[in-house]
Amino acid sequence: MADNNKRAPNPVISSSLSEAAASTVLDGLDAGFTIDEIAPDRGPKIRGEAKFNQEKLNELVSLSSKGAPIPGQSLTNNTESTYSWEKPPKFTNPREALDDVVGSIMQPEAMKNIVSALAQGAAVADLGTAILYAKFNEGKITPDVMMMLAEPVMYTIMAIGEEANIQYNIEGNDLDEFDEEDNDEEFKGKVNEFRNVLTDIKKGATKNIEPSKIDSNVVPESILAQVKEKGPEIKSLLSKGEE
Amino acid sequence: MGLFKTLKKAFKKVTGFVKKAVKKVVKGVKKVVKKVSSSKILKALAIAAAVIVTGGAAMSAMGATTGAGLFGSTVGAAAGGTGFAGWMTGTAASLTSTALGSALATPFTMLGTGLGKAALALGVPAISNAAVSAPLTTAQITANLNLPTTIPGATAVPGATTIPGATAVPGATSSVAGLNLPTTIPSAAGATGTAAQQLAVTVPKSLGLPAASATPTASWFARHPKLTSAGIGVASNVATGVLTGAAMQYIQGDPDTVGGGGAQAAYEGAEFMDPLKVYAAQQGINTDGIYQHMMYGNQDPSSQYGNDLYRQQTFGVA
Repeated sequence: MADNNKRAPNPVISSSLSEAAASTVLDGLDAGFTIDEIAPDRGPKIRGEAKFNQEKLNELVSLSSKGAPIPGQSLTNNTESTYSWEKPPKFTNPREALDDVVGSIMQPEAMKNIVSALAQGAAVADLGTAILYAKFNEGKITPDVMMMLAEPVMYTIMAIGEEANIQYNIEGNDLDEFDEEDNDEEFKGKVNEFRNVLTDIKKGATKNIEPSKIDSNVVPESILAQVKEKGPEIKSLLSKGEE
Repeated sequence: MGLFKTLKKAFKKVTGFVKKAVKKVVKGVKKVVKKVSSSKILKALAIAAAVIVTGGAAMSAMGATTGAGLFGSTVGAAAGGTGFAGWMTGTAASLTSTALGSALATPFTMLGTGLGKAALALGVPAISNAAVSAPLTTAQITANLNLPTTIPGATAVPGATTIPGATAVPGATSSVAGLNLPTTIPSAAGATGTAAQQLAVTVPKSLGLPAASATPTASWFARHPKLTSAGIGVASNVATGVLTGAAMQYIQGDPDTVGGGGAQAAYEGAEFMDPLKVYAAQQGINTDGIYQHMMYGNQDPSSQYGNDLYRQQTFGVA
């Protein structure tokens, strides 16, 4: 049973999986879990960086240039032997379809391929698209159900990637997007902090400086005497020169 | 434009939307949980989402080898489901009980890649629902602890059956062996009534004081007869009125609640407070067809897979 020291989870229900997951995580944190308990750190991640491969690109181009069907070609097909997606789908209920898709993803061989693809830089969105498109091609789901399952399937692939300790791309080559955002935020925070300190110095600290109170041990007396003597004649290095 | 191109475009839009939603949610959580990296929040969200999507079955499949991460830091915690995933789903045992869960039980173990090996190298075995071994007996605990049976240097106290120097209390008619306690109150002869009344006579007598005496006081009602009789009259009248009213209402029945003055608030039963029904009402969903709607959370119909209803034993059909 669940931990007795923690309160029971609050009811969560949403039409968006992202929102439901966020609510659940926040509820878990509120119940007493730490972020490390929810998402334990397991050392440095494998970088799933996409690398350009000219040979594979050439292969893809040659495949796509082999010719497309002539417009209207499908109308000449035999009506007796229809494509799978032209027949009624196997699953009209998105829940049953999701169970079938997730069941296929979680098979050892499929999971091995997914982990390998993620580690080599394939994006979660592309993998999700390929999986769902294959299901549509098999005549198991309708295009509408395919769209509805995009989010849960993407999250399932992300969970596999996390479990395999891979730093994966979500869409395109966005491997470091979250880290860059973190760095940007950190940089902005430090700049703001610096500005605040500078403003404080400008406003307050400079007012309180009096030549009589300057410690002679810090500034040599000879220099202090020069400052007192010349006073207003001393100009900043950045000040305008005489015209 | 052909069907496939349309699908491709639509899918790109959907995936773009999902990525935006993920980023938005990560930012939202980050505002609450400060000083935590976005990638960590993303990981937490992915785990939570996978548990929601599969009712925990996916996490069971992966957590079977990486129990430290998802079900807790120890084997006991893993089996008991005290980790986050266990907390979310209520019990770890339910995770593998579904059709989906049993189908997914071991892919990570079977993979034999770094996924399974990493956990095994850390000494985290797979989740086991095997019964815990029998508890230790007192003798086994004592034997294991190797406790001394006697305190070193301790010997029997001579004459320990009586308190040394104890003598009989004067006036005691009998005594308990050893302690010499009196069993009757001294000079209790002649005193009557309860123990307190006897003590009130005997104690002062033994101390050479005059016995305590007090004249009985009449009650408040006895001292105020007029007020008492008036009060009884009022109470009798009120009780008669209430009983008459109740009898009349019983005979005539409840008045009809007609018009604004007669309208009453309907009592909302617990059935209508069900989160799923509240959500369905808000979204304009007919609850009879709720299974057709995709929704996520611990209250949606798919989350009920782990309930006892779906885990009870069934009879095979001959």
